[in-house]
Amino acid sequence: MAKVEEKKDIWTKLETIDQRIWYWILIVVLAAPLIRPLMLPITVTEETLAAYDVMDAIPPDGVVMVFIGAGAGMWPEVMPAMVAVMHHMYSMNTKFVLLAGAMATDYKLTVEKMFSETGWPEEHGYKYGEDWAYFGFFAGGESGFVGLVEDFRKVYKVDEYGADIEGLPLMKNINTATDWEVIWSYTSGLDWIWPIRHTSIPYGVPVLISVVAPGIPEVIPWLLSGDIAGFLGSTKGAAEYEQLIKTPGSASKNLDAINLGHILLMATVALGNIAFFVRRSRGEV
Amino acid sequence: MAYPTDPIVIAGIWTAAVMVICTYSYPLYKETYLWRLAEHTYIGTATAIVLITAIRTLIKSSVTPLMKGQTQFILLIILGLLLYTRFLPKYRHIGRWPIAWIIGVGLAVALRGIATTDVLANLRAGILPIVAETPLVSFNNIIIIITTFTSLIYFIFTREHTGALGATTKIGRYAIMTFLGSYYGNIIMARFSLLIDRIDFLLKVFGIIPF
Repeated sequence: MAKVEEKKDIWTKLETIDQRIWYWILIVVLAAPLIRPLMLPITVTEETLAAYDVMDAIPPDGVVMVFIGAGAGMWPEVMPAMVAVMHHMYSMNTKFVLLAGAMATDYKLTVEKMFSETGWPEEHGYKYGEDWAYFGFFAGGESGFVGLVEDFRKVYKVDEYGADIEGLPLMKNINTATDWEVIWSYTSGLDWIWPIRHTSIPYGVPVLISVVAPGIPEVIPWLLSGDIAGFLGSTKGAAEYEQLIKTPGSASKNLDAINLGHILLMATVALGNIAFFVRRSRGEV
Repeated sequence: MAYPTDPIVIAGIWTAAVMVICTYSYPLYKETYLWRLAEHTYIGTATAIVLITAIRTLIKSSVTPLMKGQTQFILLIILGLLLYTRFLPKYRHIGRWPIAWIIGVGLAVALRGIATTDVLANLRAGILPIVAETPLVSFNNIIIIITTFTSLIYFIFTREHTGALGATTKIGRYAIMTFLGSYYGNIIMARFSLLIDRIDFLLKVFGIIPF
């Protein structure tokens, strides 16, 4: 018996197209604006402006806790924000303390990557132990974080280089949560809730968060309730912060590609739905 | 920044570029041994980094203070070692004690903040003025109040969702679906960011865009 070939029209073909073709189209669409930047306008949102205003108002003797909770896998989303905020701190000579926890077991790579893009603090006139300090990784997750905001010396007795904490002039008056001017949390998981639970709500310490994109809808309620002072949402938030400090970086450049990628995604979703409804109207689905 | 000239750096970035291409060979071509090589290399490297960090943290936080005379850390080290009894079938039950300790401490620490953070803070976020500074803010606040209320109503399962309750839960369902759509969009942005970063890296390594 002769084989009857099913006639495939454009709508059926669209639904059965090889997904590898879509991946190649996506690669081309994302690569194009990196080669030829479009410089699409970036609108600064309230949460980014709020974070900027908090950082801008830090007094000269204020010390910022920079808590790195994101691993290298999340560099594309969190690193631009870290770099932008570090540039801002350098411009104001803000003192800071670096420490890591949660999923940042590769924190050394993250810190080296960040300073390779911003320059090490000494290149900006900072003196180690007086203007900045580096304490490395603390274990224990949320329990460890509670320990260090209640008694910093309970968790860290020496810094990352093995120097006694008492030998660092910067840490002389820093031991509990209220001693910090601002707490910055760079996170890719749920550890952004730790500073809120244990410093912002009980002690009123301003908490700023840089969160990956899926965390943005989860963080917004805390911004609305006033428990966080501001946040940077993924690449977009970092690009906005770069606009505010007038130092365009990788986030501003990558945002063009993200915009085009989303337009492609919307077009494919619309096309897929049109194909589905056309075929359903024919009774084929 | 100029293209690196140090041979070791060049070897490093080209190795990374080859690994990226091997990884992306799976969605762009098909499953190959090159993809498996890249995947296994990544898993091995990541595991090694975690192991080194764990050992350094253990030495810094427990072993060094113990050697300096703070004998209370011996109990913690013993508890940590007891976790490995899970590999000995005859003594596996002993490993439950350190796990119980970890869970107990973690739960206690989290619980003390959950009521204020997860419940009260979210309640405060939902208490918004209907008449605000601008009409747009008022409109936003009304939407937030309605969607919060109806989404919570959706999770009442003690009564069938019919009548007035049915209409309310329907709105709640649409609100939840809208949130899931927003969540999906944010996840897409996250994945695109990761892909764009790798494409950017490859373009730089191949010299198509400046480093």
